[in-house]
Amino acid sequence: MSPSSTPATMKTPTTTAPMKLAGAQSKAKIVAIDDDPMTLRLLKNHLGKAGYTIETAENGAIGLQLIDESTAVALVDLRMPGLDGFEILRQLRARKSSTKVIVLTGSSEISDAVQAMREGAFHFVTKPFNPSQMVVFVEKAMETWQVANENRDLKESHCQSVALRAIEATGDVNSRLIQQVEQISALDSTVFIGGETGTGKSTIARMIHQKSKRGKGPFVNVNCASLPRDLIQSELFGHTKGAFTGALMDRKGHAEVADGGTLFLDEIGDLPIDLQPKLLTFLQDRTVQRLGSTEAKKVDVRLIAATHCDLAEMCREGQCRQDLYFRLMVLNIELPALRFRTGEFPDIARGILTRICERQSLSLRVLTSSAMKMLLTHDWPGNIRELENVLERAIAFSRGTQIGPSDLHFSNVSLNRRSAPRIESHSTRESHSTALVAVTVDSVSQPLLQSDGELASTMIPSVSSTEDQSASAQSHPVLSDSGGDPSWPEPKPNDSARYDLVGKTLEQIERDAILQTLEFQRGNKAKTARVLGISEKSIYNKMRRLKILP
Amino acid sequence: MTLIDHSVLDSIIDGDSELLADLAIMFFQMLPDTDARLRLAVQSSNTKEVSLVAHQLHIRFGYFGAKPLQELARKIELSADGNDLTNIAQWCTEMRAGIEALLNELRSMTRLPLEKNED
Repeated sequence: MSPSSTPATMKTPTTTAPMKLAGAQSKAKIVAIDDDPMTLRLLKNHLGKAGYTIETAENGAIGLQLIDESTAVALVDLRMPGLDGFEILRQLRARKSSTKVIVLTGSSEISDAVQAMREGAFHFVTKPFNPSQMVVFVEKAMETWQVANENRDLKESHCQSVALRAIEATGDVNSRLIQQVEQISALDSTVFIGGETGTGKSTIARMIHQKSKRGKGPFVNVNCASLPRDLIQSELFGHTKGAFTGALMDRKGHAEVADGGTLFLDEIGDLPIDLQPKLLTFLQDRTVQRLGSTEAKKVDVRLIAATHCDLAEMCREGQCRQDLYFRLMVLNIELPALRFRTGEFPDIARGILTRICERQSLSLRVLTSSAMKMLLTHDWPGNIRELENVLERAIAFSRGTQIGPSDLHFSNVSLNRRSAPRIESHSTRESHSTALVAVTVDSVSQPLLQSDGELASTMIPSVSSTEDQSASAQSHPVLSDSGGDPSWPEPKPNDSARYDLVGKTLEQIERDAILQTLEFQRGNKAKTARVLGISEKSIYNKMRRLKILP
Repeated sequence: MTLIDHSVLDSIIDGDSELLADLAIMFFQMLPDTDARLRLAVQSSNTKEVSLVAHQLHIRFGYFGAKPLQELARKIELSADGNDLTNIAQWCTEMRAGIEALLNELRSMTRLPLEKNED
């Protein structure tokens, strides 16, 4: 182009053929943040021509709000007033964002660019940049983001398939469960999934979504327990610009993002009661009203809710609205805890073990019978998730193809909680054969275990010999105490069942009574309260006081 | 002699006259504010601000391929970074003259009325 060029002599704008972008790439967006409008104009022009969707911001604070899960690449000026490029990098890292950041720098800021790379930037480009070079960098960043996302999705789906296989493991409970999932998937009603932590609630929720007609739509997973209380409403239903300090622009909430798909509200029991009416309105009308807006927007969303809490009890205690409860309890699935699945436990454990070995390309490992016994005596408060972790650790520490008891390492949390619901474990653990406890416990645990003949035989504790009991009684600090009121009958040291409470504090006895009855009643707190002769309110209070409930 | 390196400009605007016009208008519209900020920063010996404004100008000149102006802006930026404002006033005067020349070239290329408001 000569200096005397006129518009007439200039070339017409080159229409760079939009690149062929993969499906996910074309949905992915680029965010450019720079305080110089000329830079933003150039980026928008060239990247737009290359087929990318680009959003721009002239300052860091607004730019940061534009970056979300669908942002593949962020082009960020390092030197900006206010929130600069370094701060944006730090905040994205804190968010665990997968967005690839390309920093834009002046030629005098190379050392800063290097520093930015150390802080997690994908690349840097010096300004004024060459547009075609910029497009190449963006393509590379986009590809890297795409691969990382695919890896993450594969990993997630693999983890889920492991959990799913565990759920699908043999047993009546599971074939019934799978059947239920199939039936529920064909409908479009609200679903409630109950069950302890780690039983696979989110896996089942995703499975329902994938099998439903909404399978190709978004699946938005929201953990209500992890949302900051002040932001729950805004997170769920969105906000408008200026609705509160820091709301620099309009933002969709999770319910709106899930439009056309499924909204999975995990740990719904943690939703504060004052926010429950908002959810109720959403459930009734399927409309969302952003915080700060008077406008209600219709959305097409299926709701799946889950919690480990007993929502019915929460209603009775005034922690959950009854109208919300009934709105949620349309289609209900209750996932059994692992400790109640004794019959199918060996198959579940073997299935998970096989999957982990396959995933890690290792030769198949086998659990020795003593290792299996040890697993069977564990309470599994973390359920399937905990079992997966224990087996993965066992594979890592085992030598050879067999996994023995010494390869099994339970986490501290599990060990602490293990003593809670699974009473029979005291008696069967090889290192804890205490006849005093075992004899008492059998009468409670046996009916539960007899459902599986083979299993029952491995789990029924062996009663120690009379000598052992005697020795144990004599060494017992309370039983061997010779002091006391002579009008009381002499203790009979060999009658261990008679003295199974000796040595325990009243609090421990109360705790054991509640735990044993709870287990016998399969976790039903109302029945437990009746058996113990106390009110339901009292059992909750006691469970909290004794730290059985959080 | 021209200020604009047309090979650089061409690689940046890719022959898009509309884009060039947009950039020229943006540059022109931001000039009064940029110039005011630079004058104030020099008067108050605010080296940080002098450096920041010079840095912005360095990049903007770069988009037009105006290498001599880019170099001048860079000289101001580096000098301010080194807390040395000795020659800044003189360089700023040279830069303003250069900007006038750049606007003239842009005017002739785009036929845009890039005229200063006399008010």
